[in-house]
Amino acid sequence: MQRKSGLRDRLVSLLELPGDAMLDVARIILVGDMELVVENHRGLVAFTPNRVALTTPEGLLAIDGEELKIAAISPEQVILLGKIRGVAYAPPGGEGA
Amino acid sequence: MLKGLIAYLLGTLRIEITGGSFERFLNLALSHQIRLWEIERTTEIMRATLTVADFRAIRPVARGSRCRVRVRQRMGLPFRLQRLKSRPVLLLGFVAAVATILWAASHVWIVEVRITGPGYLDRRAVAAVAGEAGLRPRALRSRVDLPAVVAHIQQRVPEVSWVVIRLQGTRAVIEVVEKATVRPPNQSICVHLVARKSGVVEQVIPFQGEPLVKKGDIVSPGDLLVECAFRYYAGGRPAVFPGTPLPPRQEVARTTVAQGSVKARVSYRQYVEYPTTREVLTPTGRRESQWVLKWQDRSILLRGSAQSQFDRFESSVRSYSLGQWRSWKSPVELVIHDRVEVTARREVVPTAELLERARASLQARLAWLLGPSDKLLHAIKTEVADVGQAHIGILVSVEALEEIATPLEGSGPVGPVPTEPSVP
Repeated sequence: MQRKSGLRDRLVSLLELPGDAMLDVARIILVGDMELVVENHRGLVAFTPNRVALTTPEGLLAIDGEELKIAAISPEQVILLGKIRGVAYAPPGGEGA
Repeated sequence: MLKGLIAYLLGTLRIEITGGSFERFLNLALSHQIRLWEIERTTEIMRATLTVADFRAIRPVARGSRCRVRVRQRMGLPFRLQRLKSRPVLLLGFVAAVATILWAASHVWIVEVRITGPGYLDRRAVAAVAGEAGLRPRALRSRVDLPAVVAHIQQRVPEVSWVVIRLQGTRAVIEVVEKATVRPPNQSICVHLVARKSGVVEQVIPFQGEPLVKKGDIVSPGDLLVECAFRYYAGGRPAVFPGTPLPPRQEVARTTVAQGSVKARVSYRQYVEYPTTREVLTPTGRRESQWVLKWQDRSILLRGSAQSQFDRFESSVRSYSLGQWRSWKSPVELVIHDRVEVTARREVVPTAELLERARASLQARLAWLLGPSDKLLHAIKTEVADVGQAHIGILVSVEALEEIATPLEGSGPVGPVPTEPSVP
């Protein structure tokens, strides 16, 4: 697995291809502190007004904030609105909601 | 925007989810391809929005996540229509309003003509010519063939050098550029037709000029009936008005004398008074004669008396002389006065006779007043208006259909006289 991923990384680097398109990674877009778009997620782990946790290929993505709402959710992307304070990958087996 | 419109058309539901695991609910919804948006959560409740179609598939998701789902709000067109079903009049009004708007928007309501150039071209004339080709107020927009209208204007009005028509919503704007060589006819010989009598207009036939009155108008002497000049377009040709027959061009070109026939109902009324009795003289049979011989300045009574013995008589005179020859005149003349005695008595005149006399008097007057083409609309009416002790008043009236237009020479045009254009 690790070997495959490394091979793909090298191929992307060699051909100068965009990593978010070729690699199986989450793409996170933060618009100011009010909107966050997460593409290529794997599901919702936690959803409270102060915290949203999503499963991504890289692991658990935790978003902290205030008055968080899910503007839209689909198998491809999640759009969060609210006052976003922090975005962090939690260590595997870390805390959820 | 588009997503919002689609959601509105399909109908959306605002649902409230309680109990169970909200995260599991959301993940199951994702796996069932149910699209949710505007998801908010408090400690106990989560709210989300979804389409009506997706709501039908939400039951296994709720069961799988052990959540309860309640619909809190229904939004979108299907629900509005459902509400309207119970108010058919409102729905009908809405449909009628939409239909009216669509109908009104599909018609041309205003035709505006803008003319650039010397300014002799009449806007009404251009609008009328455009109307001939189908571009007129209330015309269906889809039926107006703009290139055909442009071609028609250029063909009918050769004084136009350039035409363009733009349809702006329900307004059509015809922009016309007039040829710079356009000359107006001489306005100084303008002659109007005016009324010479009071009456109610019955018929107006303008041969030349612009009629200013119509059937039913009441006119007084001196009122303008037909204006000498049309608002020209070039060459002195009259403007084209729908429904007005256009005389041949060569007959009307460059003339500003109004010609036409204006017939009106003219009322004549006359009041006459007659005595109700008359004196009738009856001869008694008694006669007398008086013979007088006139010799130069002298009169010699030969027979009879100097004074008549009768109180009332009718006399006749006969005279006999030797005649005359060249400058000689006989100095002797016999004059015979024959007198017949009469008695007088008063006799009542029949009313019918007086009415007939009044009718005849108006008829004699009309013979002078009416022209050969004028005619009476009905028989002369007589009416006893006043009856006194010794007289009777009779009102005589009649209506005639009469030509009342007469030229008023020396009259200027009604509108402003255009100035000579500058020749480039």
